[in-house]
Amino acid sequence: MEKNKSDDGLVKKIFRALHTIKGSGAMFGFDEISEFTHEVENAFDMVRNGKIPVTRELVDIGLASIDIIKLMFNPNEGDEELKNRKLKIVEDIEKLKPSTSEISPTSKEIQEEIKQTPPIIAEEEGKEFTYRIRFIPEPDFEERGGDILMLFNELHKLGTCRTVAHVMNIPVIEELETDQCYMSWDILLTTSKSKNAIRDIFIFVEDYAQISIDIIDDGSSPHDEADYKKLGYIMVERGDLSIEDMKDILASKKFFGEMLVEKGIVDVDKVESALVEQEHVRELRKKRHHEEILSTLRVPAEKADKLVNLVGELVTMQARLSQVANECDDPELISIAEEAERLIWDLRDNAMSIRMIQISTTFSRFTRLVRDLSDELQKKVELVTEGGETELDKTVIERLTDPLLHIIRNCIDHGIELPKQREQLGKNPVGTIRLSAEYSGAKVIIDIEDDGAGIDLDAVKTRAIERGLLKPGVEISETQLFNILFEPGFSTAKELTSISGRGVGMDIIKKNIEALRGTVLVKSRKGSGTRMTLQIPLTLAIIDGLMIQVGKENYIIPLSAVEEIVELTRDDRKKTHGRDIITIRGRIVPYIDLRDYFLFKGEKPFIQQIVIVEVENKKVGIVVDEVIGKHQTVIKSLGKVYRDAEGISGATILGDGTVALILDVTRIAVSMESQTESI
Amino acid sequence: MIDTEIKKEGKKIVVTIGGQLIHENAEKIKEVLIKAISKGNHILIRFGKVEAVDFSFFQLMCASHRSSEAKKKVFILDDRTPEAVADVARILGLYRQLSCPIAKMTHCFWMKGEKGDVLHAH
Amino acid sequence: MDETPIMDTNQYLSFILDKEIFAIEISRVREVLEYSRVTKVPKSPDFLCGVINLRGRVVPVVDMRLKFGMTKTDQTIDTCIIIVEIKIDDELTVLGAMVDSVREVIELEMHEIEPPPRIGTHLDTSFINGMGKKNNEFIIILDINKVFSLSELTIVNNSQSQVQELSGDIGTTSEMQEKSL
Repeated sequence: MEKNKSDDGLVKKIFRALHTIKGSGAMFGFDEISEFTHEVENAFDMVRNGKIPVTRELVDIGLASIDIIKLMFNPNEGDEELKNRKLKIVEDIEKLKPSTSEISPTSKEIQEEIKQTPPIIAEEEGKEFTYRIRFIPEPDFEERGGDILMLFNELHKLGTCRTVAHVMNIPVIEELETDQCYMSWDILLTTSKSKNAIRDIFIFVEDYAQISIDIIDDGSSPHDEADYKKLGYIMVERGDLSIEDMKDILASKKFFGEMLVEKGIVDVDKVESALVEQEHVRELRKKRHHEEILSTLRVPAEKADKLVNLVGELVTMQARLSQVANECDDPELISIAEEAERLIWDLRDNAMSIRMIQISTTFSRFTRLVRDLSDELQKKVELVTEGGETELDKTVIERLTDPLLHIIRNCIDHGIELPKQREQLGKNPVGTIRLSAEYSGAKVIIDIEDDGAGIDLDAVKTRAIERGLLKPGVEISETQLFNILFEPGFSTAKELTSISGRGVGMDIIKKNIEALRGTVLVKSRKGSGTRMTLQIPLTLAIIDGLMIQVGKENYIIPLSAVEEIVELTRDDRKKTHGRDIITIRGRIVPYIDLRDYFLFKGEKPFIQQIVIVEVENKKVGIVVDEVIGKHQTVIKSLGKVYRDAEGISGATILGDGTVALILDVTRIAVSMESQTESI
Repeated sequence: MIDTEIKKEGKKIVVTIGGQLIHENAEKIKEVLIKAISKGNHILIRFGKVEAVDFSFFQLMCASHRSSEAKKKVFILDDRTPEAVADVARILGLYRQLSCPIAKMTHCFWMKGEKGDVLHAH
Repeated sequence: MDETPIMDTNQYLSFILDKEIFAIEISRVREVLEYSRVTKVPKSPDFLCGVINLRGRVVPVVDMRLKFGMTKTDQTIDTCIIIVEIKIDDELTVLGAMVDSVREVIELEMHEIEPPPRIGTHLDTSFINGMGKKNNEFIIILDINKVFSLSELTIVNNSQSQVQELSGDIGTTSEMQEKSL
């Protein structure tokens, strides 16, 4: 095999053998064997699909696997060693898989090729494909244990089948051998299953039947929604008709099918089958087109907004209902309130999801920006985007576009060096900006990373001292220095751009992101690039909150920030000699008492609770008098009057009609930063 | 087991066929069919109580049709095909819109048959 | 026809603050509420009492007595919140004005209004549109847009930092932070 690297047949054979081991292993309860074989099979599957080439390593793995499979049938000998060897192989296979970042030129070519013929790899979940299966059993098929009807029943389980039997070869009854099979079949199968799943059905009869499986429709929508290939092309594609014959017949301008039969070029079975295919795919596409029209509704954004607002009010009303129900202590009323709660939560999730849109809508705008701006600045920049399918609330996305635009502009303007400069530095003359989004709990993390000049922290320090933002001789952490970049007085300094690798508007970016209740984190290494990480809540309208109490007032902490809750007694405070820190599982966590932060008068209770929150990858504690519990929080703006209210990001209405404030955890945490650093 | 009967109804040779119309009984069914074809020029297949059917039976039907065509005889199926038989015929892809390579004189039995529809053989 | 808007501006809602009579144009008033529980927003100036729930909307409330340098309003059964609609930064904003009590809707003709006095009042005269006289009582007519202008309301910042400086117990507030204020 190593020698005949391109021997497809051989690879297929190995694959089939492995598959049989896997299948029989599973059948006879050797689950371990079947699992392991599956891994090895994966490796050969990649070879089969041309994703990885045949290499020495692969052959070694194959050989080692055989040894192990043999051993696995005798599981008593050296179990531990077997396990390790197994793991090693699984690891090795893992290594063989082409990683997206480092694709060797040859495999890149292959990948490209695969891209061009999407049906081969496009076997995603949920999408429906239509396969043309040609099944020609050997005459002694049934004698050898094949069961045609059973196979067909299996295929029917996978999806919708349209089958055409070829009866051309059935002889006159006098000559018919009853134990022989004279028929063959064309089956059109529309299913969401993969080609391999179909192969699996035929796996045990492959040796006594010819089977070919082709994708004829990949579930995507062609422009001509309901159209499909002409009959002649279908037949040429199937090998039932030569191109020459097709041209001849077309030239005769008669009904195609009729002519074919009339001329005796193909038998009527084949025409029938091609016709069925044409009809099947046309119907499928028509239906899909119809469904697409029916399954998406265009609704004005205001209507969706209105819905979310109404749901918000409903959530507030429901909180009141629950409260009243509990006060009345009427079991029936309580159960109704609980049911209403469940329904309203579902409704909430549904209403919110209506407003969710993919972040790719924003990402795609930047491609153009990057091209135009890099041209203008005579730089070469490539924008790579990942996770465009990540969904965020429409309003969040709208308000995210500006800061993202700013950041990317900065990347090109001040981050990425000129091509010549980059070459001198031994970098690829083409700079890369990587824009990625991914979910993280109730948040979305957006990374904007460039491989440009990075930020010169020494220069930042010098400038900060010049600007009076920093006292000379004061020790300051890297994080704090990066934070200085966001100071209004700092980043508007235009002459700084050349040394910082970052330009104007950083304070605006931070403000915009914080207005979304998000956070910004900068990481940079001089010379190798900068990464900005934005953490953005999925939605701005309704969140899960933790209700807490300080004095007589209730406050809400966004639950997404909450890590855990620990108790704090007056004695605990004494132990740390007045320093506001607590040790949680060996880690020192600073805390701040809301009573102190908000300058409340009055004696602190003996026992308080610390709500541990995570902000910008740091854990800090917020001390509260009492933790009340989870609360569905409909976020209301405090409006312009309170736009500068410190530590408060909004308000919500509680079940009793009073207003509770939502804490701005980030802001509170930042105020403790200096404490954190000094510890 | 199979359950067959050949009788004459006017000019027609009527074959009633039931039981297990499967591979194992194919040889016996074949004999019955050959016999029936030899007895007249108009053969009608009627279904009795069919317990099971598989592809071998349909193959026999097509082969009988082909023989009859060759001998310029009419070989047709009764309109009332049991649901179970029709289902298997559908799974095996026997229904068709065009004719089949066998049917020259008469139509294919399996023209247009949709579920519950009759199987024509005129 | 053109007279209609002028007619409107002739109507005023009068209210009491520390025994003095004030009035605002009725067209600015959305409604008058009984005093309800106000949620205090921490670290904000004293004259901003906090926020209330106005049918699902969170509305800031200003203690008018404190705003005008009088002593804090003591809650009585007469205490009211006048909900006004004003423009802040060209945006319609709903605000509550807490007053000792609401008197009545009065009509004042142009000739019944005199320009604001230069002396003799402890109020910033720029808040005053004019002085009305009715039944031998003086009525101070407020320019509500000026009273509730953003610069007036967001002295928040200043008073906030003052409060912070006063607070000894969180003296740990960083250098950086004070700079950022």
